[in-house]
Amino acid sequence: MLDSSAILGAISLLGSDINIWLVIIPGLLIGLIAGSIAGVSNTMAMAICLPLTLYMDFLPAVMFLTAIFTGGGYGGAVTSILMGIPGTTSSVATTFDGYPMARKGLHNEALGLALMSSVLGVLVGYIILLFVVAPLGNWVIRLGPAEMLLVALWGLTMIAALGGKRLSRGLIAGGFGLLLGTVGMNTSGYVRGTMDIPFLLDGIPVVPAMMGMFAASQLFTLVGSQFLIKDKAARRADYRRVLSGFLSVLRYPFFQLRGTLIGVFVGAIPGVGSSVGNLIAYAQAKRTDKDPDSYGKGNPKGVMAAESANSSSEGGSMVTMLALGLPGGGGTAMLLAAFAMHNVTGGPQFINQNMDIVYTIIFGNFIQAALLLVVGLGFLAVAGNIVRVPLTILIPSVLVLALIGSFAVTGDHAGPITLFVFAGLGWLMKRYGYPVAACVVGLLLGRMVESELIRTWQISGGGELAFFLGRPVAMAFAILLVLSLLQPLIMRKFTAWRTRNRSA
Amino acid sequence: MRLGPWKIDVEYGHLALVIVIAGVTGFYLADTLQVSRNINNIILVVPLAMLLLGLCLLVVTQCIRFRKHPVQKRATQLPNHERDELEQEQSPMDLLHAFLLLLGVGALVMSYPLIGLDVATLLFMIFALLLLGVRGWLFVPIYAASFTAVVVGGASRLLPYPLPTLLF
Repeated sequence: MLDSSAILGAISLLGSDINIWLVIIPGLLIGLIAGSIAGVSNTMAMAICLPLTLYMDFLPAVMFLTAIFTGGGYGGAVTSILMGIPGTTSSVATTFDGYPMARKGLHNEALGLALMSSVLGVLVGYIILLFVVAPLGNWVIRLGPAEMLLVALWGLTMIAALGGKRLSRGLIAGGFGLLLGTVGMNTSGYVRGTMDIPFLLDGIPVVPAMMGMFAASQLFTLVGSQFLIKDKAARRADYRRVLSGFLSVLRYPFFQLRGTLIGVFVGAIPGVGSSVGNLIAYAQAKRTDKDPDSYGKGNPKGVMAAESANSSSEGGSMVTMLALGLPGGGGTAMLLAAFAMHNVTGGPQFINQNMDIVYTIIFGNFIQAALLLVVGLGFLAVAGNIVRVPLTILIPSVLVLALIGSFAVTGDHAGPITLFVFAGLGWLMKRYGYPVAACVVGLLLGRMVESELIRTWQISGGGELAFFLGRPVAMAFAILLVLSLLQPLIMRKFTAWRTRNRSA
Repeated sequence: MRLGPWKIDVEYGHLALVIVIAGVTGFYLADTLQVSRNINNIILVVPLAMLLLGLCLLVVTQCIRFRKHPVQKRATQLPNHERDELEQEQSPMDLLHAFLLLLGVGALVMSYPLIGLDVATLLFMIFALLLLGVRGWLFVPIYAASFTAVVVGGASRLLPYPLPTLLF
């Protein structure tokens, strides 16, 4: 499985150029800052920094960009925990328990836990990548549109079923998001729902919509409160409590490992990747925990599941990029662009001929994970103080930052308008118990779901059942989808049956 | 609302939200069917829209409740999870402030192409700070101006697109 001569080659490559090491800390810092500002994702930071890599050699360039990628993965958790606003689409599930923890005054523990979980996620994700880069790449290439469609729908139904007060509201939120996600020109060239607005041809801008829904639903519900944390003593940054959050990860190794594995395997699926991986890991943690009702109210295991999955999905997404030359998301697309700028082409041939470079990238990421621990701690000292700012000042300031962030995403008026429209919608949905996250994930996946559905319809000869019966992976995902949809109902019946039996 | 021995509770805000969702869904469904009835166009939108409209109908029945003997529960009698939600409830005044803040964001979004993002942000910040209860005739303009200068000025230098500004 491991090529020992390539490993030795990788070690010698790492020792040959000091620049490989020098770019890691700046990259991590840029990623942390970009990831923690809603709208300025790590992908955007990588895009802005891409021209800089022209002046670097190939390996320092790749190391610099992967450091931004790694830093951004954790940066997204900072705003998710402190303000309930996910910095990136892959940190949506972190808000579910991270933000309630912060509201309880446990923000130090939550940030420490998320940092440790992210570091371990990156580390274990890349260790898995080290062993399975080639076989996993072969597995991923066998996934057709039917499997992709079912994975996307599985993630969506899971979050719709788990997120709200009632299943009907979860389904409305997820379905409405999915429907809005198909606005514009579809894969067959049909244009719907644009109301003659030109920017809607490309669909509703997802990131501004996400910022509007999350920022509004959190910030507007905070109007009337003075501080994010009521207890004054709990507001200060306390490294001892950050450390206790760190160590609490070690108390639940199974949750950490399972989240990491889900992140790697779901992250390897192009297009679905980290956005769905963290939701599936969270839902699995809640489903199997002895006390599922504590989730959504500040359960540290919820933060751990989400953060381990979104961090390890980086390793998963690298699989398809290195083994197949396919970018699974924005971050790996930037890396592939850096490859092209240095006249390197990713794919099976690259792996066969340059295994030492693949191992160098993997080993370099081990070092990045270790350094993230140090740089992340320093970053927390600054970022953690946000809870000390009065909400009367914080709310308008964050709204303006979100508005400028939305402008930065689209480069025109489309971003701020989308932000405003979805701010109103998100506020109302949150107020009446609709899971905002389900709507956002639906919006994110709408276009892909429709495209994969059309392809599945076409290659299955009009939905022939025999086609699905011949695809066991698709069948397995379909069963999981139905189970996640029925899970709340089954659990309710089971609990009622158990209570009846005990009282009898 | 009372109807004989029945008391009718209507969640007007929730009803409005469901009507908006159903309205948008209905409009989108009609627009899709008008464009083409080819399977590649309607394969997802039509079944999904029908499902959504059905669910909206179900939720409408939850928004309107008929009760014969209304019993007002006290917070201490409620189960734990309901009590948690009550603690997060905002007063009518807070809701009004939140709504005005949303309108303020709308005004900022609509006005910045006309008066510049810098001026619009400055006005929004002053409005929002005063609305949320920040007092101090010196602090409000100084914070609003310095925040605007740092954020809009910084963004106009960092972003690759031109920001519509008046001063920066």
